[in-house]
Amino acid sequence: MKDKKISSLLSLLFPGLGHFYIGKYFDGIILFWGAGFIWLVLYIRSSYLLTFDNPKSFLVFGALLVVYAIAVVDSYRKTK
Amino acid sequence: MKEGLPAKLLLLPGIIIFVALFSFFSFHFDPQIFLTRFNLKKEYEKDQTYLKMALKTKLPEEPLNQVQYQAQGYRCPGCCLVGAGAGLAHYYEPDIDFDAFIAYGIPTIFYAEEKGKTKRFGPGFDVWRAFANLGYTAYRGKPSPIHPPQIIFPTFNPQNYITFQDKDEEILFIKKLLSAGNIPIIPWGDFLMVTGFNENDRDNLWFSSQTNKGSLMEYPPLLTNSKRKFADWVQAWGSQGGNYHPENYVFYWVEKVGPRKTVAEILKENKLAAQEAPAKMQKAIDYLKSTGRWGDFISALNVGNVSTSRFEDYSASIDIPMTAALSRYLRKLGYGKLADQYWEIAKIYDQTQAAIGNEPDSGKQIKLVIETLVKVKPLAEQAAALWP
Repeated sequence: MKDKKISSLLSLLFPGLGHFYIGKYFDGIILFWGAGFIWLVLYIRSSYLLTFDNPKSFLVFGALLVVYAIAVVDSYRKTK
Repeated sequence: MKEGLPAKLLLLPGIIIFVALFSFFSFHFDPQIFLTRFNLKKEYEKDQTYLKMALKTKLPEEPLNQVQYQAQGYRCPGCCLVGAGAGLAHYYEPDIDFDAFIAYGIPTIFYAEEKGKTKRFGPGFDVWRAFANLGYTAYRGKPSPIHPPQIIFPTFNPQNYITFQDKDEEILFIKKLLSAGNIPIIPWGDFLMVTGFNENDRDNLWFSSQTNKGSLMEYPPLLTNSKRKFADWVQAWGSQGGNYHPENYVFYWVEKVGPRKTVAEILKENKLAAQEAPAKMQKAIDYLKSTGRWGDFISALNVGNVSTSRFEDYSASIDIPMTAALSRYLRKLGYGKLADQYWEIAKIYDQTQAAIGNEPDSGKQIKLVIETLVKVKPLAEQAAALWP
């Protein structure tokens, strides 16, 4: 039996980890790379995106929040 | 058989990743800038109230129909703000030529500052310091309340970063400035002075010029002004490097508020900075050898760094003309030996720039900069001892 709270916590630490915990490896890889890609974009364009001087900042952060939210909710739901 | 990986195996890497990302984010994110984004109206009203109180130039209620000034920019490829600034100073005060303007900007300053999120290394000549020493105060207008960190222009009064509502309000203000005889500087690829307009002919808009050709070792000529179209200017002004570039719709202007410092005072300031420079050069060498980034300072202003509270850069693009100009200025004052010393330094900077121009690899470029500073440092030490 896997713990729902643990899978959510792992997903909160980084998307995909919760799915690896519950054996949903394909979903986990998608979320892991999705979040990783967005963080990479933020790292490369940090001085541009972290000023919130333009709508792209909100777009990128919005996408990151969505990925995290999907990861947490999905891993919680799928944990048995 | 249980499905999935054990929690213990995933928890530690998860925590490490989380802490690393949190550290990165908190280092780069400035809550103050984030909140300012949502305080546009408040910042605008505050700045406009201050401007009305602080501005000494009497602006007309309505701008004139037509003005044109013969202010010209000095040739300064790669250092356009210096070319425009020196040209403006020369127009306002004809006895201040390019070399004198540079001397007033204290070209012997060398930065090696690390304060939290801010790191600045490299030559410290500053156009606004030159104006301040000539008795001027500088202003910057922008339709956004996010302004450069103080380390970019240390002598700039932060209150003089003025928020405007939009570009149309700025254009009206620029016309009023010009009508009152005050010539603003705007970015259009290069920094240029706006030197004239004609309301009856919107294609009759005048700017100072700049070029990317010419030796930085030579005394620069004044360049002939160019006639441009209003629509072209507004379009370019608002897309310096994209629709949300931090330098979009920015403009600067200065006004005389007091007497200029004497030549003796300027020499004293330069001497003090020259005596501190060698130790700071060593810090810059150590920084570049460890994790240093370097880049053209003016480009650093244009790639978004100016809008963050974190600034981390080393620049070498302004060191050649500043050092060559200082040498000429000192020679005119009769300090031949000191002038020779700075001329030798200028030649080394010039050789580096030529080498860097042919080197696409940024790692090798940093190596060239390090080698240059290693060569320049002992000469700077000798120069420091020669100041009167």
